[in-house]
Amino acid sequence: MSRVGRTTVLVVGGMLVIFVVAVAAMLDSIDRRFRPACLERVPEAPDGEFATVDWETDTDAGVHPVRYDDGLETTFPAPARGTRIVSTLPGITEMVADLGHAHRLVGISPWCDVPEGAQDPRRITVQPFDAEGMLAVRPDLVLLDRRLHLRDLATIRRRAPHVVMLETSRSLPHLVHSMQLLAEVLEGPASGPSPAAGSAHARALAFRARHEALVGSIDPTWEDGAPRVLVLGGWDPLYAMGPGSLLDDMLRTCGAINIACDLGTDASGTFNEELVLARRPGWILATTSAPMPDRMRERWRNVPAMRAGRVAPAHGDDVVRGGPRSLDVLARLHAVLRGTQPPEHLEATK
Amino acid sequence: MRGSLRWVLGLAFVVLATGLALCMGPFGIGPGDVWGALVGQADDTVASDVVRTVRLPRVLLGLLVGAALSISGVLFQALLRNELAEPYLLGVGPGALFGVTLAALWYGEAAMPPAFARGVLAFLGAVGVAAVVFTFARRAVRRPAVTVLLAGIAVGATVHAVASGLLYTLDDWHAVVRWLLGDLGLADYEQVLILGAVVAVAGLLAWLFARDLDVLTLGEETAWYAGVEIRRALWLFGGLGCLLAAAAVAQCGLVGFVGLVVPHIGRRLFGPGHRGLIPASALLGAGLLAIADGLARTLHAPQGLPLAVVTAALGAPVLAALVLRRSAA
Repeated sequence: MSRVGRTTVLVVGGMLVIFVVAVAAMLDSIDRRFRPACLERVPEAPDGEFATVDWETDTDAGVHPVRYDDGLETTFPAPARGTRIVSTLPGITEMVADLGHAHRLVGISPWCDVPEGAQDPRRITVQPFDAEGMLAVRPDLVLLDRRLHLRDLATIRRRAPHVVMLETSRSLPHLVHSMQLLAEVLEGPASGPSPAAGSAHARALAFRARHEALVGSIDPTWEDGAPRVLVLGGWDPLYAMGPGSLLDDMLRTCGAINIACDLGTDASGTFNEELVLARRPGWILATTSAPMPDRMRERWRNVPAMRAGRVAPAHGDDVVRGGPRSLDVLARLHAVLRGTQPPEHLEATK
Repeated sequence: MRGSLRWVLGLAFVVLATGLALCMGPFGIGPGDVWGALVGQADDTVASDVVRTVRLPRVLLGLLVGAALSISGVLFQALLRNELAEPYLLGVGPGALFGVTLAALWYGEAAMPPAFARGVLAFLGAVGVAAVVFTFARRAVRRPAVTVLLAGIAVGATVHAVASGLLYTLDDWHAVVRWLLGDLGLADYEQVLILGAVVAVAGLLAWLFARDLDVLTLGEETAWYAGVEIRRALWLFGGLGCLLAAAAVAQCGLVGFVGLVVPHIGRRLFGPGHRGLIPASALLGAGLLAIADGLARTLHAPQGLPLAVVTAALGAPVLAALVLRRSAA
């Protein structure tokens, strides 16, 4: 074979390999028809893995924490009851304030509202980590979100060893548990089943009771089949909320199907536009404040949600933050999906 | 291989790649349904919707982006007489990044600025940086091509640093980064028309003056003696190359390797003459990018993969094979 001939064979052979891979991918996609089971029925709630604090009674020092375990893979000494707290998320700041300890906040994230009772806390970022700011406020307790900040944990603990990771953006049961964990970290273990009125424990228990009552009042069955919902966090690129996000859990609680249910468990990700057309959501919840681009309105004109005008703005801070107000969001979401309130009702508070 | 047969195979490759790309995607649609959707006789309205509103403009835009980057690559490799030259070398990539970052800053709350603003500013940024680079070259007394190359690296690095710094101040810089990794997700027919016009005009101009490119590859001095006005050629081919690359970047972000690898494949299959190499690279680049985008939206669905990841995965081994082949010869 001549040199030119061999080169040609090499190049054409390489292109054939590319073709084989492409055909295999095509056949695979046709074979699967891309209809995951989670589109047909509401998936079960994932098993909860909850963080705990172990307490030890010492005759000299009283009760003190000995170990904090985030329920998964990290365990380290628990903080003393925090008196100088840094909150790294708006939802966590709201939780601290809701439990009556806003006055202990010495640092909050740039996106937090300063809660009533807080005394001019410093703005501190975690991503990127503001090490100087963290050291300056001398915190004895840093509150992180497990899903959002796990990767930053080692870096933060080098400057502020006493951290607790809460679960504010994963599911409502995790949020409820996080409220109780936070109450425990702030005020020590509950002394009994009926904590003192006004204490953090009492407030956390009230939150749990409200959650149970609300979930109990929601009928997750639908006569005409479960509504199919797309939760979008961005238009360009198309960004959807999937399993692992608080809104996904709320939809499941309401008996609705998240059409991005196969997005993985990382809460959100880019989502292929053709699946929006193929899976035909009856509702679109937009957690971005940017308006829907005109060309998308045109392309999605046959999507049931568009035809029925069921595109609900969902970018209020109470919707996008996991915190004490999330139960209000669940109630509003249920009312909107049931049709007892207009789509704009989801955005009722700002 | 006979010349005419090669062209038939080249055209067949593009047609086959287009058909294949239309059949690929996270929502499985068979070739019959795709054909039905294209001719308006689909039984499945959802499949028809998906093919006509999402896949077809996306595939067409992919074909055009591939053609634009490939022609641009041919022009820069000939102009700079460097087989490692590629469209982004003259600061086109950083310029586009700078433009998109400015658009994102301007629009504030939105994670990504609208496609029109993004496209216009990416284009202006890319062309602006390339213009600065060519202004440097005007001052060069000797070897302007080398000056352009070095100026491109220097100016590109500076603009990239400034753009990265600005990008860092954005709340949601991830959206810009995702776009820069290559995304044809929101292609529409308007973009297809715009890029189609640019590719047609710039490609035709390059093809008409292809003989000058042939002479330029022999060296500036030889080209000068052959009657080629070096500076004029630099402006013409450099301008066309920048225009094509910037127009492609404005539509879908930075898609690497196509402009670097496809001219090499084209040279192997169709020979070094630019009259043949320009249309051949356009065909090969178009087909390859259409398939790469099909893979990008099918693999790792429903998220998909950035287009640049797939083009690099496909292009790098091909380039390595070509380099090894040549070094062994």
